[in-house]
Amino acid sequence: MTRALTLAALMASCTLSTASGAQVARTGFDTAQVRTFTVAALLRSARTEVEISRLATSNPTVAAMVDRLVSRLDRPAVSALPLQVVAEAQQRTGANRQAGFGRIARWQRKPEVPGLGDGDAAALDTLTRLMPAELRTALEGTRAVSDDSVDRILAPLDALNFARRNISIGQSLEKLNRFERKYGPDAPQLNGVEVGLNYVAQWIPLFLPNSEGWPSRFEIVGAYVPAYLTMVDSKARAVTVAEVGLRSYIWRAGWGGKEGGVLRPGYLSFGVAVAGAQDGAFVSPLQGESRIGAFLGWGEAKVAFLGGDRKRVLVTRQFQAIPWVF
Amino acid sequence: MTFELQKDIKWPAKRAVLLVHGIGNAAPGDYTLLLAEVKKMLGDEAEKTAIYQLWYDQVNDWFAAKTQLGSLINKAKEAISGKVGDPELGPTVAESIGDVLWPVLSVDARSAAREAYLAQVKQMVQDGVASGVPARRQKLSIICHSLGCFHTYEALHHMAKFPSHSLQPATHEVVWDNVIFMASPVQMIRTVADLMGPLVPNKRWLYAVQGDKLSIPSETTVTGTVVPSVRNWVSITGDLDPVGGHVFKKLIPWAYMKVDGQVSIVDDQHALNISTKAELVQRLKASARERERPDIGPSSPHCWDDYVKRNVVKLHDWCSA
Repeated sequence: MTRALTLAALMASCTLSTASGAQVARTGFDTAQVRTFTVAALLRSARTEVEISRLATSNPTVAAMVDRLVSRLDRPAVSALPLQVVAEAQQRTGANRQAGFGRIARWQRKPEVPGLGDGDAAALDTLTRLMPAELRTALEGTRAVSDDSVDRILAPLDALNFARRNISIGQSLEKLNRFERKYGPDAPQLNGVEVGLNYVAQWIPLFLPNSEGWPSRFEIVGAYVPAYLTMVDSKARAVTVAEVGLRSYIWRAGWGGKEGGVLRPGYLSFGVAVAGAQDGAFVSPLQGESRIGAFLGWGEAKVAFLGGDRKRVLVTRQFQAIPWVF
Repeated sequence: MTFELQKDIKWPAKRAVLLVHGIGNAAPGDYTLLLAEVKKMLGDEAEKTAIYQLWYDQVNDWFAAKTQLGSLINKAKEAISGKVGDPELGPTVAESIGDVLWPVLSVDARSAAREAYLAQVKQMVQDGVASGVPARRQKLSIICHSLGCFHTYEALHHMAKFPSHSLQPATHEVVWDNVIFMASPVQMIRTVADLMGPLVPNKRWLYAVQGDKLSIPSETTVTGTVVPSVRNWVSITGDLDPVGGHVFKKLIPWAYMKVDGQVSIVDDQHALNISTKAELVQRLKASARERERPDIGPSSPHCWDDYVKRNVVKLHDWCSA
């Protein structure tokens, strides 16, 4: 009887108190709770799990670990933080939850969430991993606790995971958005040489998606362009240029495709431009004493500058006249 | 953004099934026959099950258009198809080889398809939570076919490894009741990728080639307990289906997916779409009744619908448990 009353009181304390104060207890999970729960509710959940499952007796090591973590986090600066804010801060990166040196350095300079230092973030992370695994197992081992009760006790954790998953869905869609910018219908097509070069580039980290699956913004440009245009003595003249460089995709919203138009393209390109000694279409860039310069592309529009005796300023547009060739 | 998730489905109960298609150009609206078979298989439980379908072919299409390799691959497919000689089997084998190329040889294609998969799974779990079913109470199943098995294998391992997707079995309590692989080419891809050796880029994140053998993904908790992502890992293939590791009723060890803890089923398949005398009589009667030619012909050993039909009882038991 005493235990049942304790259970009821603990459950009430962990589900009713939120950032906005008292809240009507609900059966099951309510997505509206995502924005109202605070870290304090999460800490109460953990304490409730430990109390009800009598973990101190059955598994004192884990109970002590939880106690240590809760004690560390149970300060006004941390416990008052809304779970939504915690979810928005990416506490963990990469595989095996190892944060990179750069990230740790940033944490030390300026915490990602005011009040939540790197140690606190790690403590919260460990606690939220213990709660659904070791603590829940212990809780469910207690016959007095029904599934509904477990769900009510863990509602703050569900709220945190719901918020995290929502953010993660947004990130996945943004990654797909970027892949589409790089490979979709509005992206420039690669010629045969570029397909080969970019295949080989997959062994260079700069050109690979990172471990979280964000695509690299770069790809290699290696093209034979016979249709650059220049003006000599007020007459238009074709110039053939070999381009070697990089294309860099612009991920910003509103750029690229029809929405971005000419002014806000989806990519820019730059690199070395090489032309033969003579102007003209379909001239070998290695003919005679080659002229070397640079090219810069702003979306489809490209300009190039050639040095040497016959300096030239050239313009053209990104296109492929013959698929796979140029 | 042209990639769209199937979302905001109100779950009627605690169950959801994700159907992951295999090879070919599939788009929303396709696989209606399969969907009908799955609903038939679920019976009364169909009304209590949220059914999701994953479409990822547009991702493959982006890569084909960008590299202009689409026509080259189509030519290769035609050549392979002609070599095999079988009107049903040839195109199947050729399609498999063509579609497998992207995820194996292009890291970006692999990552993009995996991301599309993960996004749909997250949305599915999220819909369940929004319907009042916390992740720990969700009864989740995947039924995948052919190349969809490869993407499933990769996505399951990735979601178990990376906390950023909030889909880990211990930390986020997302555990699959059933993952049912039908005609899985995962072992074949592992073998081919091994043979190709250094030509396969970024093998580090190609889970099908990791470790000594294929495995069920899991998460290790803070105290060292290993929690598997999948409770019931099933492989169903046919003894005439080369994509599933069989040729002419013979198992090919290097192509047949075998995972410790797996429930393995190998369907007895027939070259014709009739396997018993009773079936033959039934079709002849139907032909006479409808005054149409009898429906007798070759059967595709790789057909997804047929896999569901042949295993309807077991599938029902698993997906409604």
